[in-house]
Amino acid sequence: MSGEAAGTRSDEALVHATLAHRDERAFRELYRRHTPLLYRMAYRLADGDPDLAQDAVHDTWLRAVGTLHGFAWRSTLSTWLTSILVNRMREVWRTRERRPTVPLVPAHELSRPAPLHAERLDLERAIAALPAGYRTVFLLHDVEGYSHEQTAEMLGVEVGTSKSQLARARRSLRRLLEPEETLS
Amino acid sequence: MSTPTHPDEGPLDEAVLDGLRRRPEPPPALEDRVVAALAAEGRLGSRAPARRRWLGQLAALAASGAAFVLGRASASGPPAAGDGRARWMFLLYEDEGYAAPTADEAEARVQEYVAWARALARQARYVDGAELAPGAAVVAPPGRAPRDPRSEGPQLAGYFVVGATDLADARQLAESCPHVRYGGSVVIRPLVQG
Repeated sequence: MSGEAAGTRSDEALVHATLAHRDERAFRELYRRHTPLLYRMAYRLADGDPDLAQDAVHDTWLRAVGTLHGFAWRSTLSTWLTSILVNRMREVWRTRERRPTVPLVPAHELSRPAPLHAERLDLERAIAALPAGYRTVFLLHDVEGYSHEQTAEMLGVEVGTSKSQLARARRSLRRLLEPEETLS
Repeated sequence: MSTPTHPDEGPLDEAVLDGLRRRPEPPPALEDRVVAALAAEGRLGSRAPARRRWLGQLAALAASGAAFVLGRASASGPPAAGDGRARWMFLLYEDEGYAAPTADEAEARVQEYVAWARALARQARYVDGAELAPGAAVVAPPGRAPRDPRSEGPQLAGYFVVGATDLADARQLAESCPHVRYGGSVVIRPLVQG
């Protein structure tokens, strides 16, 4: 996930330089290594709102650097940062009561054809239409490549829950992406 | 990896997923916003904020002792180096090779730089010096995107203005600066004489 090229400093070395020396360049290297994933996640969890996504990434880094001293490296830095971001977005959802704006497919309807929108949804809109839990698991596992174990740890759920939510997310996405003519 | 119980529950097409991994990219300005916020909290800046570092005490040196030693300080302008020496600016840069002090080492490092400056002051060769604080703003002409010069290459960390007879003399002074001993580099520039 953190993808270090030959000759680059490890996450641990950069974290050490950031904490011990307040080394801005080390921090910028960390930032550039991990922020693309964080921003992608934030953007999609924020229903494509770039301002909200930027605020979430900003808050994630401030929270992370403020608590890095306590990070024990039992997980990767990327996993830890992503879990902070996801929790930050959960806080946003709670405080703003932001919910997906596209009608969802109830789980009990997934086994039979469901008439959806006449307009075909593209993938981004389909992802935005997923319930928050499905969407988060889908993004973490299928898009960003985290394992079910990592995903479950980040979300504070059982591995089985991660698996079942992913299966439902994929199924929902396929339905949302079906060509219009096959829906009726 | 879960075992799909239904074909619809298998992974989506990898090419489609790969497209999701490439966009959207974070706005470039977000990096500086995060760095500025961390610097404002005292968490970035290569400095121990509660403890003055190597050039932190030099303003007082220039304003009092050095000016007295130089004997040419005037209320209307900066002091000039004595004995008619030309003035030279030492631009002190740091990169990964600079051994920044830990919090415990910071005070001793300050004293090394100050001792070096005091030695110059005793020879009437010290004019000015200061350490750059964290944080910066860039002002660009209308229509041109601001570019932060700190975004790449060695970082300008501070400066001295000293008196030296010629470039060779200035070079000799620069080589004696503690900054070089700790892995920093010094760019020597002559100042236009007024």
